[in-house]
Amino acid sequence: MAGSRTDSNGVTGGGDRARAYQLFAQALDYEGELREQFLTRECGADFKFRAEVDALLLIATRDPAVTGSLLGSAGHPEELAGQTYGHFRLTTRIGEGGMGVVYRADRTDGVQQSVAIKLISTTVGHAGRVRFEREAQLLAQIEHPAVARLVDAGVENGRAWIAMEFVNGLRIDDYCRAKNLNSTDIVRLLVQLAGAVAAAHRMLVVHNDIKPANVLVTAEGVPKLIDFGISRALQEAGATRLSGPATVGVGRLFSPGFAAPEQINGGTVTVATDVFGLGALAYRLLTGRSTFPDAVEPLDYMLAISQRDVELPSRTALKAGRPTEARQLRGDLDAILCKALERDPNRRYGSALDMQEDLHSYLTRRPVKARVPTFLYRSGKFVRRNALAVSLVSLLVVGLIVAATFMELQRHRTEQARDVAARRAEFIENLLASVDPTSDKPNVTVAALLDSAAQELDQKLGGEPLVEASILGMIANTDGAMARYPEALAASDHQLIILRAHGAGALELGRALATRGALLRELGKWSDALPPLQQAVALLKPVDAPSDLCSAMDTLGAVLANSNQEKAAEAMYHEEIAIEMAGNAQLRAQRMNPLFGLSVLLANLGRYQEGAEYGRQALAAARETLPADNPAVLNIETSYANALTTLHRTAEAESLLRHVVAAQTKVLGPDHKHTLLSRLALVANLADQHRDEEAAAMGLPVARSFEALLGADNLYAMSAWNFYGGAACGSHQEDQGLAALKRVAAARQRLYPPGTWVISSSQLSIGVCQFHMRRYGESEATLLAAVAGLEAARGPGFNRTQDGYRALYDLYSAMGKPDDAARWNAKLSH
Amino acid sequence: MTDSTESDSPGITALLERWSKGEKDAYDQLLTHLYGDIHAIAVRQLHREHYLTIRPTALVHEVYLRLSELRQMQWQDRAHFLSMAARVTRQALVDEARRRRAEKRDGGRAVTLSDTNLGVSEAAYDALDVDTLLSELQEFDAVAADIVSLRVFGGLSIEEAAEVLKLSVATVNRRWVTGKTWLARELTRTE
Repeated sequence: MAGSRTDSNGVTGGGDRARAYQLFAQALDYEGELREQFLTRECGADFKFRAEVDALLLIATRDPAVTGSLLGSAGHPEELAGQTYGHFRLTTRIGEGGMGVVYRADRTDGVQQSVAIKLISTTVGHAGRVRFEREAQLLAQIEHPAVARLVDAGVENGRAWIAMEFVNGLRIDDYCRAKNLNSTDIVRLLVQLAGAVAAAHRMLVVHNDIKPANVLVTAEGVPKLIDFGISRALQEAGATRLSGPATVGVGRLFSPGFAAPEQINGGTVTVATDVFGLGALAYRLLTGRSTFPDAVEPLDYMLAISQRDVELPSRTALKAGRPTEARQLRGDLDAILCKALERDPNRRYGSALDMQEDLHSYLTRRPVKARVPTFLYRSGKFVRRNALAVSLVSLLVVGLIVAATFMELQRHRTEQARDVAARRAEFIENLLASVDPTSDKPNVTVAALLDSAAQELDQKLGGEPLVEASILGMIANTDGAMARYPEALAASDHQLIILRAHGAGALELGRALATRGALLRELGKWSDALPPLQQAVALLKPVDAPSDLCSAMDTLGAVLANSNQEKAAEAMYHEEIAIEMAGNAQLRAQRMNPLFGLSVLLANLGRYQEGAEYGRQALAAARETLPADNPAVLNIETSYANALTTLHRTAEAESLLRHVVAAQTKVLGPDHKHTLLSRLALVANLADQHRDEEAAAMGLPVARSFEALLGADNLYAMSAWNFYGGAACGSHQEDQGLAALKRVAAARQRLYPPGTWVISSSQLSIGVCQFHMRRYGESEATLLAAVAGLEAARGPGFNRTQDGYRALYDLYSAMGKPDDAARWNAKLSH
Repeated sequence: MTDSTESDSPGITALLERWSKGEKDAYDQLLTHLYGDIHAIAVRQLHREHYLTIRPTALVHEVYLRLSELRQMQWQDRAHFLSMAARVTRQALVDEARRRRAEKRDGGRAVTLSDTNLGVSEAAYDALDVDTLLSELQEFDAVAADIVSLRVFGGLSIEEAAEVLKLSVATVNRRWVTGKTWLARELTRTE
């Protein structure tokens, strides 16, 4: 091995690294199942090595620029030079933009004119062609020194092309950097651009895609907007899929960092959209960073722009290590940029002309209209910003993970499936950074951040109770999502006290109570969870917040189902589904939760066929809106597999579960709560197949991890110990098994109301274990009591009751009491 | 041409012309000349930017902007020029980083690069790390290493890199993806 090789950088040695690289490069040739097969064949059982290759593949597939260039291999430049489009012959290739390649071209009809021709990498249908050309005629009428004139446009062989004035210049961001322009110089450029945009607006044309790539600056220092109205024209023409790194998105086109919220959420594009674009461009040039520097990928940007305001430009400049610029931005320019970048179009400048005037006022040191800095205004804005973040985080916590509609746009990216907790961490880090401008701790852990935030809140925000409460709610949700339950409950308590003391509205109070209920539910404290959830539902019903209401109903349904109120739970789920079905797509997608709840509930009630049917519907609803490896889909697959297990369709269930466990282990890690739940389901499945040895071996680490994660009294931990105990007893490890079962039984007796079936179920497991140990006398007493309890709680058809009958049959057969055995055998339904 | 700017050195046009005729020593002289230019700009930028972070392509752009003749070039020539600039930029940044480290200036902090071309968000990476990793990649995929170096340090487009390396666009595309992914992986490796 070459001595120069640096091997100090990780677990993989240099040779392995090279091999991982080569395998990764080859794997790119395969897709889906074939890739999986290829990798399994090549990597064998070397998981560490396989993980390395997977890491490379993950990076390659989640990077839109990478996948984009892989998919849309651009034509070779020489192939196109010499071709003619309209009156133009392509001469030399100048570059490529988000929409396609750009060539320099000359006229073929003798007129001296040099143009730039952009060949759009997309196809336009016949009807689209007419609209596109009509639109282009309108665009050709825009005349302004700062607009690159559209000369001609057309569609050739289904490919749209645009000929515009050839601009010999640099992209504005490169220009500003190269010339080392100061803030004042940049504002001068922006004033010219705002004027150009205003001129186009007078002709009722909106640019719709203002960003550095679309502004060139000539050697004389004149800025030129290119592609005016083109993205709009193409959309009008119904152009299918523009490929390219800058403009990603399916159905809707936008540029991360520069697109306005209404361009992303399907709102109306107006002149205010260009005001936003100018603001975003100004932000980039003046601060050196994009509006949401941490959101480089389209999905992150979509989330960021629809949930929070941009950070003050001066603060961003400071973070970017530009103290001089930060000083120049503070005050007027901060105000101008923030007004242009308001998320609500109605709060922005009414026109590009208004914005131009304010920029001009800044240059001439006159008062700026954007500046209305009253303390009330700012703190009001702060509450608004955080309230939205709070609602978003709770949306994540209830399990839907990120608005479902965004996901379908990005079906092929696995990036969304990454750890939910990490995602939440991003939110909270940003948010808490905005609470305390002096702290600059990028590497602090979320947990530490939460703790210090909880401590500092009172001092920092004691005088602003509603702000404090909204942050506490977010802390409670995030702590809960990270399974830090004591901290979560403390924050939630504190939040409720503040909200009640200050007469908060039904929405805030309802949300806070729902959070509290969800936390108690996670802890299995059913009776404590019931009152806050009932109040939450009552408070949220009259206000118009269907998503919050449905989340609360969902949790309440699960709590009712575990409090011997199954009928009420069933009704609650059906009521929720009705609300969701009457809502928009996002709300309808939420129906997967109650369907999922119903499937679990009905299976527990012994209505297995119905349960499985709801499981199937929940899975269908989830797959409709979410990518296949989304955590929510995987969770529902687990539940469906559980239903199949209960129906004794075990082989089917086992393969589904193994798939889910593998996917979750890869995406979330082996000890994430959701992965553990699926591993637990697999343990149950194996136990059902009487593969006790496997079940015990798999069950023990699951039980230990649950206990470490959620505490010994947690219902999942108990369930895992119970399965482990039963399986251990069945595979000659009776002592350990029985000890585990007895611990669970004691805990359940303490935690559940008397008569709850799980208590008898635990007893049943103990009785079976005693039978395995040939302690027949003890076993008989335990089993009889357990079966009586199960019959009373769930009736004779319930699967655990049936398990009890079977155990008694086995017991009496072994004891040589055929008559008793036959009596219990008769109760078994086949 | 008469529109030369004040920062132009008088010999450069002639050198470019001689180089385009295939004269080897003109190439070497150009390299030396460019090295001085790029290094000076890098040092100035490093001084200005308190985080010591540099966008190599902006460096190259600046040189490009100052040499107004370059803008009259055919794109093929431009590609070759940029490939030369990429080489020089990489060397200049690595030299500067080593020097700073040795002198413990600015607390011995590294020279870091940031470029969206890398596809690893806006985070900044140590120039010496990038250089070392590219040398390592060179050992098992020399083509990919060349492409990444051209793209990252010279801002060459896929087509320009294809022209310089005399490869098809498809090959360059592919190797760019694998090389860049590998580099991103190594740069963000945490374990």
